[in-house]
Amino acid sequence: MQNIEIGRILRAATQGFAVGCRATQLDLPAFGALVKVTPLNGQETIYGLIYNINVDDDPLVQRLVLAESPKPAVIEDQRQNRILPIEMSVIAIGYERDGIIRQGFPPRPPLNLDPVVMVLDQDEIARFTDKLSYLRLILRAANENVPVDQLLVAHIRDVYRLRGDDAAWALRVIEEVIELLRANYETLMPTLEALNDALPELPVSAEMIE
Amino acid sequence: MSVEFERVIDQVRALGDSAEKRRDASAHQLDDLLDKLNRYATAWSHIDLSLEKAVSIVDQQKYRAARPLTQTEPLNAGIAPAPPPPQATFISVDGSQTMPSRHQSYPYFLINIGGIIYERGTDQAPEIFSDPQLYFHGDDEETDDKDFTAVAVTVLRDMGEIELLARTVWENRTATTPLLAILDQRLQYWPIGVQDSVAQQDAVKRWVEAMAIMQQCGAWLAGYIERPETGAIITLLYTLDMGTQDFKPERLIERPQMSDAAIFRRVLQPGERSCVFEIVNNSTNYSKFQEKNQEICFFYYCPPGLGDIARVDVPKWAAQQPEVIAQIHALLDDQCSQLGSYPYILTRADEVAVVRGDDRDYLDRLVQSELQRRGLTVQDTGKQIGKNLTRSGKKRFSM
Repeated sequence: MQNIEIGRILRAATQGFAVGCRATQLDLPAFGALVKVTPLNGQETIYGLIYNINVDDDPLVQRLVLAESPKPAVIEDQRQNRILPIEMSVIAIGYERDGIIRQGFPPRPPLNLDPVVMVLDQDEIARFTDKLSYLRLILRAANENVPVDQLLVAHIRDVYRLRGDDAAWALRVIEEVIELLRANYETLMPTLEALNDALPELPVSAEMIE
Repeated sequence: MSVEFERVIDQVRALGDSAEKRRDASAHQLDDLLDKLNRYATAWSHIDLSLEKAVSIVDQQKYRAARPLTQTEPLNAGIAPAPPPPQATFISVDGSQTMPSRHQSYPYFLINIGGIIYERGTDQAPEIFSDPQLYFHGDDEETDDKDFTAVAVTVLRDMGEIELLARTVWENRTATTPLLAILDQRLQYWPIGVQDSVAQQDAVKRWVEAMAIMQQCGAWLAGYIERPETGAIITLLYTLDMGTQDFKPERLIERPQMSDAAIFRRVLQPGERSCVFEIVNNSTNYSKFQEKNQEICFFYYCPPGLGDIARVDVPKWAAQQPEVIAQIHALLDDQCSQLGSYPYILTRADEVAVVRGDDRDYLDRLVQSELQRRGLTVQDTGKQIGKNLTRSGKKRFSM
């Protein structure tokens, strides 16, 4: 599968960035998805995970909600014409420079309006996720109000499928997560339970902690 | 906050006292006017005779009244909307501007006309469009300082609105019918503040010509004015006192102390309209409309929900067709039901056109950058610099 553009940078910092898109572009991006931004000025490509998708309102939308039945044309006017972007929050988990992927914060953030794509290319996903150091960056984001347990589950489920139901990779990730959260049972146990629900075909259980 | 509000509180209370006294004083007057409206509701002969006599006893340059367009709808009627047509095309425009200021680094102003084409009965997103125009002193010496006044800018904006509306209607003349063009101002245009009579006539001529173009396209045109301050119906009611001891001829040319809207707030239920009236205006200001057969009629309308009474202007040639009035009424009511107060399409046209504060600032920076790039000195006046310093808000910087 080819990567697909999902929006553009609204604002950015070293640890992550916000992506804006129209309502009509919301079919594809999903919570936990791996995305990348390739700055137009030729700087390093930055990888990230979507950890929040926000749909804003404004007083006009609030008033329309109260109408008995908003007309279809009015709904489409709101979604296609009014500049109320869907905002996706992304946590940075790595970057690529000179063909080498490094899993850490990028040296520089991207710039406003740099295009953001969803990474769907199987080879690229495999290249990035073969190494698991980026999991630390996800877990450290718990201090920044990122729902890390849910994010891990969504991300692992997603990449497992995109890697062609790669059970070996999934189990390797789960073992790494257990290692990283060994001192944090409060987060670890619900995460394992959620993974068990999401990937029932995998032997995920509390016994893996022993 | 720089206003000492504790010094204003008592004055606010005095405002409230005054408003209460005015309401109590006008309540009696309003009851009296409602009584006249009901009494003369179907007095067609008396209405015709009184208006005919008024022509000979008052200064026609100052007399502004109205007459019922037909004898089928009483003066005090409240007419419910019919079901709207399943499909229709709405086109609306609005205009916004930056005002020129001698404190600017270089004199210019921007007029932005924005609009929307909305197809009722489809699930297509409306088409929005805008036409920003930057005005500055040209190198051909045609524009001079007199064009950079607030009055001139306002007239330019008004002309921009009606002419873009006419152009857009023309370009979409084969769109789904009925095609209704709507403005958020009265159709009987007058360039307020313009002193030069040639300029006045020129503006009105352009306005009327744009109306005529829309008529040629087969489009209907409406001007929607919320909470209008006109008193043509009140003047009519005072005119109908002719022959009674209540009649006072000076009232026919005085500006009424209240507006027609006050009467129709009591008469109309949500969604209803009044009967259709025709403007009675024999002044030279109105002659251009008459010459081009663009005389104007109107009705009052009570939107559902939170909106206030509106006056809806419609060209006479359209108003003379009862089914056209019925459909315009129904379509506007349908538009108002989206927001519960005001036609959705006018709200959106305003939003497309508006030039916000940050837009103005950005434009100013663009102009300054361009001038600096050419080695031209750019500087606001000291007064403007001071304003920028004191009005930009406080920021905290930390290390």
